[in-house]
Amino acid sequence: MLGKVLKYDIKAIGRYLIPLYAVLLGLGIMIRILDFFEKVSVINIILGFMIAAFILLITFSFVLNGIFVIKLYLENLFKDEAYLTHTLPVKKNTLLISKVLTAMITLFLTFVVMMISLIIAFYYQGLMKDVIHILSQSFGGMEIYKVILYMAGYGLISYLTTILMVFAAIAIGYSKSSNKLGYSVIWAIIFYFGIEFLYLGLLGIVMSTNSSFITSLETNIFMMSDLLNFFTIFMIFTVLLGLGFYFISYKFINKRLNLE
Amino acid sequence: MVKVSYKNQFTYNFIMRGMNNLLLECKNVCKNYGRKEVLKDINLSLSKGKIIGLLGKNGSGKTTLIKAINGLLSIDNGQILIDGKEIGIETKKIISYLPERNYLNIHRKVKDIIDYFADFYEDFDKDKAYKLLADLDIRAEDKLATMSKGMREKVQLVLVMSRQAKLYILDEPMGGVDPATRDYILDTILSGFNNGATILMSTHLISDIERVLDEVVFIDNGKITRCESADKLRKSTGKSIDEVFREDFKC
Repeated sequence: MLGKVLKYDIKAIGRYLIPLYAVLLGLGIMIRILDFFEKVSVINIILGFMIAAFILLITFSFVLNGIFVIKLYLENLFKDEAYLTHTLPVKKNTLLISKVLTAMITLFLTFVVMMISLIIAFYYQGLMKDVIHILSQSFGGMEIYKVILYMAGYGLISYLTTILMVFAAIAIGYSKSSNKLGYSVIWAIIFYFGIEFLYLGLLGIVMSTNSSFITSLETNIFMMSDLLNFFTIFMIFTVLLGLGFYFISYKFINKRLNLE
Repeated sequence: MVKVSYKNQFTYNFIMRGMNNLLLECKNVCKNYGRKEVLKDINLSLSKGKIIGLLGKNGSGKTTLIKAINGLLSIDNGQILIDGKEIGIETKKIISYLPERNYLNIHRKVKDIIDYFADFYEDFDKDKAYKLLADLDIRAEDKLATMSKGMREKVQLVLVMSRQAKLYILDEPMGGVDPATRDYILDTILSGFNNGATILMSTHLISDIERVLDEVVFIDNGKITRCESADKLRKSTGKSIDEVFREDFKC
């Protein structure tokens, strides 16, 4: 059943994502074409605007992706469509896992489309070499691929946990009889500040138990092992938070469903 | 005016239980919205192979009860059993539910929605769905977004009645449909369900459906006030069910 639910979830979110991808790729192509005529002043101005719009869209692509996933979750599990979704002979867990997988798959697709559109717009010979050079300078002396891998992993986990936090807030808010959206927003704010508080506490514990890390910070020389340990601790903590939010969402959808 | 007391209602339920023919049982079901009691200790037993009208005024608790039976809202107290099972995947396999609102994604084509139903419901009959659509002059290639409210309701009804379910729960199935089409829809409902299945239908259009009802359940202010055979009710009161309803629920 998971495959079937996932298929329809991807189709549903595709309605929003395909136009986004089309705009990203279209802008990339337009920038590449207009670049050939950059000496014409009018075209140069237009090119400037297009690059600004393109960068803005690239920056907000992941945010838009997240908004679309949350919209899918809300409409599919708590609005009118939920009357069909919750009467399907499908486990609640399957419905929820499908939404999480949809978030992961679309995040990957958005990343791929973003990279392709960036390459179309700005590629030149030796681009990769320059990128690696800049990154190596930023993380002086470190194994750059390892750091990128860790950062990508941490980014994915943080992204999913944030989405699960909103899922949990919506699940609680929509279990109420009235002011469902209002309660959802309140719970999202409570969760957000709760997480920030917990991260601060965790940072305090890490700092106080790992003196070498503090020394590294003071001397501005990051040790690779310290940085990766730091990432690992926060990654595990973020995964636990994500699991907690998943459990809350599941409990409320399974036991406290209260459709309008 | 003859009203069935709770004692009689329980006797009725007891007899039905004795027949070992029960499809739906609600035992002491309560539901509150905040401080407001919407369902008050509902006890109801419905047997197989019947067409039952769930009748009541606006806000009487009909839709809430139907939603509870479908697992769309959690009840605060009591138990609901369908074919002897608590609400879950197995009960959803045997219930075909038509809500009073549009629950389909309006951006989809009708044929895609048919595929969706066929994917999830083993008892869904695609051929029957296409035949019913053709009878109602609805094109499978059309998107729901291009259709009127009434047409969308017809599509929903076609989907629901194209399943070979044991229990059909129809919440206002003819609410937005023109009078000329109501008879066809009623015939579709009657011819569409297999013998042995039960239909629980909530509606305000009592006169339209009166002729087909085997039993009636009156609900008022979250309580069941009548639960008896339609024929017996007509005989004992000498009135149509529509007239009894108007008397019982007179403002």
